Amino acid sequence: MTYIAEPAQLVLWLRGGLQQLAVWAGLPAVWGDWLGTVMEIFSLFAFCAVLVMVLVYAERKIAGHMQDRLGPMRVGWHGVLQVVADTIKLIFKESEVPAQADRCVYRAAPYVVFLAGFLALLALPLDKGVLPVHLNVGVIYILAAGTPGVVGILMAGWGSGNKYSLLGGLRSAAQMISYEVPLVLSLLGIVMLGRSLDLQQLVAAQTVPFVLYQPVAFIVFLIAAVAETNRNPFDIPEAESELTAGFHTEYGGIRFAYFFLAEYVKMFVFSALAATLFLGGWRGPVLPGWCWFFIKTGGMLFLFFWFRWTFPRLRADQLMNLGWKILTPLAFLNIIGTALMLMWL
Amino acid sequence: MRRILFSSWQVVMGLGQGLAVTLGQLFRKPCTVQYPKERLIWPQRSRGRLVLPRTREGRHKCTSCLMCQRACPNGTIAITFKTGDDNKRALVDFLYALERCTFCGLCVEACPFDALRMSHAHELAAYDRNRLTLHLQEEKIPFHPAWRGGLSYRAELPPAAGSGQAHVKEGG
Amino acid sequence: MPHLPGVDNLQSHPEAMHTDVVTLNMGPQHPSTHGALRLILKLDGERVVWAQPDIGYIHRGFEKMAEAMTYTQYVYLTDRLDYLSAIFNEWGYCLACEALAQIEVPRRAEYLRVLAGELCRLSSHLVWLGAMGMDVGAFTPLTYTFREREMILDLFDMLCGQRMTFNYCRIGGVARDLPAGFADRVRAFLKHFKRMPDMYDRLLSDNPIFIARMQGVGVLPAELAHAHAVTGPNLRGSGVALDLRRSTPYSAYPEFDFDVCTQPQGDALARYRVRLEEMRQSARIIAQSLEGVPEGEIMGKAPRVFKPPAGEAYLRLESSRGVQGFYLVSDGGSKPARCRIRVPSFANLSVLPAILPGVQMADVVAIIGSIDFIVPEVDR
Repeated sequence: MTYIAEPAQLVLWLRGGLQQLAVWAGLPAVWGDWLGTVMEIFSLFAFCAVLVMVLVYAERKIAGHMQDRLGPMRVGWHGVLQVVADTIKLIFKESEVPAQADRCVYRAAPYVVFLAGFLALLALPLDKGVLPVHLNVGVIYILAAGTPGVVGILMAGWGSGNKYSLLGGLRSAAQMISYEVPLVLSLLGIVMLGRSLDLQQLVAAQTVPFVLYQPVAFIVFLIAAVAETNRNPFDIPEAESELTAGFHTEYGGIRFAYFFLAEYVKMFVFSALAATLFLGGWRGPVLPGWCWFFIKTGGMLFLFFWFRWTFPRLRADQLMNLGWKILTPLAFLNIIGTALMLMWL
Repeated sequence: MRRILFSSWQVVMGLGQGLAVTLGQLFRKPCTVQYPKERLIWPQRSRGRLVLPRTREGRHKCTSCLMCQRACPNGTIAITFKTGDDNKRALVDFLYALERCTFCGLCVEACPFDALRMSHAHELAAYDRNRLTLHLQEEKIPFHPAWRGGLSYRAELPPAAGSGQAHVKEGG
Repeated sequence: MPHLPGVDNLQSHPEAMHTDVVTLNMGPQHPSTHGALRLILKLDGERVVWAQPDIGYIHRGFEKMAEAMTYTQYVYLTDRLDYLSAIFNEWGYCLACEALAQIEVPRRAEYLRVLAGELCRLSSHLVWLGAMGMDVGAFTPLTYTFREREMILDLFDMLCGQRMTFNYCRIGGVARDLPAGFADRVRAFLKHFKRMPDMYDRLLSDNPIFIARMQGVGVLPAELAHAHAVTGPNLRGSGVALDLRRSTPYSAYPEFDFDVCTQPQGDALARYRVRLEEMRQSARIIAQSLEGVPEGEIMGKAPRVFKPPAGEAYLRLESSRGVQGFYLVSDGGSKPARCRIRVPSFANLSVLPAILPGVQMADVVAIIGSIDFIVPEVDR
């Protein structure tokens, strides 16, 4: 399967073609490069959109069956087109700005939030040698790229001019910053074991999935990832029963869709990161690598869904306690343990 | 240390039990009834909209005694009648304002002549308010076997016969 | 251009930066105020410093409406008070009417009322349990409890002809006898329901997150509860074993074997446990009433045109939310001269200003859920 093994070459070939095209049209060859970049961005965006549609459908179906109901059933076979219908509805809905809103901030917020998730998606290794952008510090990049999302959520909370939104935004900022710490710390053990920050090399180093060496780090990472994506039991920023919808209370139409997109993309990124760093990424027998990648990511995503539809929500202060008093020390202990293990073994 | 281990074990067990419940449910058949496509059979006593059913001869039994109109708490029923030469009342109009009806069934209980029934018709939404003002004497609704026995507490119903589904078309 | 205090300004003018409480209107449209209740909260960050419920958004003039209706007509309307446990409203009203006219209710009718009442209590508690889970962020219990509630509503449909607004009780008895096959359906339901409280335990009550959210939250001491005339499961959650079914027995309740459940702690978790246990007890009573239902009439000797002699009566019963009382004044006519309704939710709601200050914003929702009031009943 050459197209999977050598997509970088495919991209190069395409770029070359575009450069030729530009030259042929009497333009500088760089224009072809730019065109190629734009096309890449759009194709990634399309990937995002399709991915989120699949995830939303999967979640609604799984949630439905977990709750003794069917989930979407009306549009298309077993409701497969429901997500498409919803998307169309969101796109065509009038997007209005509340009178109280800080217009500029209000409008920009969803894109900032979305961009954070989108950027993180760039560095995920789908298969051996297959990743949109190869970075030798992929772990740091992914963690860093996801962070500006907090800013976007704060912007949304502030810009909506709504007290519920503001509360949601503030909660979210506190939560995401707090959980960034154990999240990063839990990955340090992996980095120490794999002796690299390059996701590809980290996967290559996993002859045995790292989760067996680092079970504590895995649990810490899992909890922190659920908190980072603002999902139940840590969906405090949205907290439907308290804050109606938290920071996106005032959003509708396409802007709301971007928040939605961001949430699912982020969930995918964290699931993929867990699959890559703890479960061996694309490594696996028989099936091609990308299959294993998606199977493992899917398993992690199922965990996200499962948690959401089972657990009640923590309170804001309990969440902080969990993050700072339990997860962070655990992550530190894990680092010390890993270091000692590496020293003596 | 032991205490910490024990409490964390409790936490894990507590969370795990819940997860097991939802996971178990995931593989069971959902209890959903997909309403317009699938329909449940209504119990015999279910109260839908009011009808003035016809006997086999095609006549309704209403004598314009106004008992139902008086029993109704909301003024849903307005009966117009004319008095014949023999001082007998003849029904002219049985006006049934569906928009006011709460389906309490007091009218049916009050009817001394068994002329009224509550059918199982329940999809009563209309785009126009006027369509909710019905004239029951104009409808030719045959007596459904499930309505035998009357609805007043004085006469108890026979055992549920058949589906009890009323085949009533929405009037208006 | 307004003056914006910068860092330098702050140092030279410390008064330039001050924090203030935020007034937050929770409701009347809000996912967890259980109807059109407006709760005015003053928040210091996430902490509530002051709270006041603002009621009356669905005031419909229930008490005044009684004066324009005959005694028999008003029965159906009481269903709309506390729509989740409608039978208790009818029952309480009929009790008052029967006391006014001194009508004897046949034993069979009493048993049927108990049967319907306990089914109703069960269905009401099921709704509460689902909503409680929803309030603390667990979505799934709601669908499970509504599945069971649906079965109860089907039973009611079979018995009374309506699923929520039953219009089942009559002055002097009940409207309809048991339909054929009803007892078997109830038994089948009880068999199905037997496993359910344990399942709710596994899903919700034993969940450490849930316990953390509920334990020690919204503590309602017994004295405070008494001061606000709190009744029902909320009072029993504060350790007071007051249940009218046991303390001032009415109807056929003396003949039933059931436990009055209490929890001493008085917090949200205690109220939760009391209600969950009451569901088990209700199932016990239902089974007993099915087995023990005597033969006989279902209507006492009530005149067709009900005109009680002049006088007054106040009768109360244990609804699923507490003490429900009807005070009726008759002037000898066919319509009540005055009808006053004592609703449990109103009193239960009145403790909110006392117990909300000091809790977190998220706890407000948990407390509201655990107190379990019905706003249409509060507003009447």
